[in-house]
This record gives sequence, C-alpha cells and structure tokens, in this order.
Amino acid sequence: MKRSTDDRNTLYESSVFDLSFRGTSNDLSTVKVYTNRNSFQIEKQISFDSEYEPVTSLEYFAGSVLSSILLTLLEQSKRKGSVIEELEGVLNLSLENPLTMVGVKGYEEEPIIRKISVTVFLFADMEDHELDDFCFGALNKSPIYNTLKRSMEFDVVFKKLL
Amino acid sequence: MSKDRMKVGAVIYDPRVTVIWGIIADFFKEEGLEIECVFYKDYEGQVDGLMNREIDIAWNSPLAWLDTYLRTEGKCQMGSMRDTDRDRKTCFIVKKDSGITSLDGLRGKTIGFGAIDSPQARLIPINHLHQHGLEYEVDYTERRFDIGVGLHGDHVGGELDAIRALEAGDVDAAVTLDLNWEAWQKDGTIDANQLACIETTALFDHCIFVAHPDFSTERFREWDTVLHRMDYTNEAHKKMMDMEGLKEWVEGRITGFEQLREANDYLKFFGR
Repeated sequence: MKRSTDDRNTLYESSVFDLSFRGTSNDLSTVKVYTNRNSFQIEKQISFDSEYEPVTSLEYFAGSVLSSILLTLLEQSKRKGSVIEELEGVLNLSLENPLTMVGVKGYEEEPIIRKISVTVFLFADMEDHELDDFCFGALNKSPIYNTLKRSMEFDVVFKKLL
Repeated sequence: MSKDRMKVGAVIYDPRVTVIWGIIADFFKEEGLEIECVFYKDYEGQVDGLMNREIDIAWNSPLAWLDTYLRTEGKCQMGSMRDTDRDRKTCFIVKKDSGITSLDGLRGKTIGFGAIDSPQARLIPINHLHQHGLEYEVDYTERRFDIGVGLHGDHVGGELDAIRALEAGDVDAAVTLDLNWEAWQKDGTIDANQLACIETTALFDHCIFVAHPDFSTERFREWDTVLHRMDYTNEAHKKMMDMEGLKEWVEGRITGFEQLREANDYLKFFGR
C-alpha cells in the first residue's frame, strides 16, 4: 500500500484533539465548570487571604501545571517498566501586578504570571545522564509545559534523590 | 441624613492588606453601616481622592494628614487612630564599638535614613537633629534608602536597608521606628549585641482617619462609633486587628503631629 504524504488526506482528528467546557454562574458570583462527567465550583480567581479555603482559579492552574509534569513523568516511566520509584514536585509561581486585580487606583498594568519554577525530586535506578535524558524527554510530552514555556519564563529542574 | 455608602480610602502596596479592609467592610455591614473601600497606590493619590470627594474618609499616614491639613487650611476632620499609633518615637542606632554615644558624636558622620517621605525614618529625626544643633546638609551627610516612595514609610524596607548599611559599615548611624527596633531585636533580624540606641526623638503619633471638611460630621462620628465597637476579644475582629497591628481603636488627636509640622517647615517638604 502506498502511504499518503498529501496533507489533504491527513485526518483532522489525527492531529488535533478538541475539548470543550461549559461554565455557568447562576448566582452571578461563583462559576461552575462542567467537564465531561464532572463539575466543580470556583469562587475566586485568586485569594490573598491565607485562611481562604476553597480552591481558586490560580490554584487549579498551578495544580494543573504541576500535575501535568509529574503525570507525564509517571506515564513515561510506566512505558519504560516503571523506572521511577519515588516522585515529588514543588512549583513556585510569580504573579506580576497583583494590585491591578484588587483595583488599586494608579495600577493599570495587566496582571500576568511572569515566571513558573518547578523542581522535581525523583528516585530512579538510572545513571545521571540517562535520568536527564529520560526526564527531559518525558517533559516534552507535557502539553501544558510545552504551551507555557513559549509564553513565560518556565524553569524545570530535576533533582535525583539519593 | 444621607445613607449612601461611606467611601473610605486606604493605600495598598501588598494585595494581602485588602483582606483587612474586607474584614472591616464586612464588620461595618453587620453593624448596619455599609462602606465602600477605595484603594490607592500612594498617599498623594489618596489625598487627591479625598480633596475631589472620590472618598469621604482616608486612612492617612501622618504625612498624608499634614498634606490634607495644609490643603484644607486646617478644616479637615480627624477621626480615630490605632492604640499603637500613639506615642511612637524614632531611635538613633549606632554600632556599639563605634565610640558614638550621643547625637553630638554624629557631627561630620553619615546617617542612614529611610525613604524621602518617611515621617519616622527621615523627617522627624532630621527635625530632632536640627533641634539639637545638627543642621541638615551641613553637620552630617544624609544617606537615604528610598524604598516605597509615596508610601510615607509604611514599607519598612528603607529602614531595614539603613540598618543593614550600618551593620556593613557603610553609614555611621541609622534611624528607625521604636516598634521596628524592638521587633528586629526580638526576632533576630538584627544582632542586638552589636548595635545600640543612643537617642530617641520625643513622642509622636502615626496614622489617623481623616474626613473631608464637607463630609457630614454626624456620619463621621457614626463611623467612629462603629469602629470603636471592634473588640480584640472577638475572634473575628482579632484577626483583622492583629494584621493591622492594634488592640483597640482610640480617639484621634493632632498634637502628636507637631514634630512633623516642624520638620515640614524646616525642610519645606510640601513647599508651602
């Protein structure tokens, strides 16, 4: 069989996976986000109150970034026969211009996540160079990382647990 | 009497401070008096906002009080202050091994001050030196640490940088508010064995609520009355009061701003 190299024959579904989400606000105060089979409620984009308990948009975002990186490592590990034996990650995020968000007069600059740093601690029975190749190879399979690294300063450091 | 929401201004340099104002607004609502908080980047903007009636009441630094007092020709109304705003003093700090034991020992030396507009870490201590025969730009060299200009010394960064410069030997003395000097000794920010306080200024007052001259005095008293119902033994109030650094709201007074007025006259800070 002759393989097609013609772009016109490439199926859309083969190159793009589309998702859609619905968000509602019946009380005009909070937002309920619906996934395929679940939903979750968000009250605030961000909270500056250390005692505020509900998960905010920014926390979901950070959690999404960190979990995407850790999960991509775990997925790739399984494909290699579960090479990772222990895994933990820490994410630090710098939000620039937070005072614009709280409406301080005199601040007009757009709030933006300027920098994310992730440190991944992992134990795997591999040589250092082998582990680096594995980790960075796995990282390149994280769509969230690949998207964000183009729009901000995004550092990921891997530290081998001894 | 108008029951429109009172508009209260506050200067915010850290978004976490808005939590305090959220608690205050919720408390006033529970007490049947709704307020609207308006946040400003700096005190000059806040005093502008008060003057053009964008707000009715401003939580003012002592220098912002003076600015308002001068702009309204003394007609602005004074409200409450925190218990911790009363009877503050500035400390003159030197290294213990410097041999400097009094203000006179600072003659010809370099003194580290806070931001240009800090009442406690520049204006008042400069006036104190003047009162004791050391003239600005003549008898000593000023080294200023301009952190958070516009915040009137609310940010401790300038004072701490001055102390760090003293520790590093870059200046011969540094000035700082008594509360900071005490706190930094307790929490280990500074090594109290290496530094000594050789002089303190006379007592002065700090922040105060100020209302526009045309704002209803009756409504301003209503504001004060509700404010004074805050109770440190109430767990919900305690959180806000701890964050704002007070245990009790007390009656305001302007006698504690005398040194600042003298400093303004001496340095012609507002150019009036």
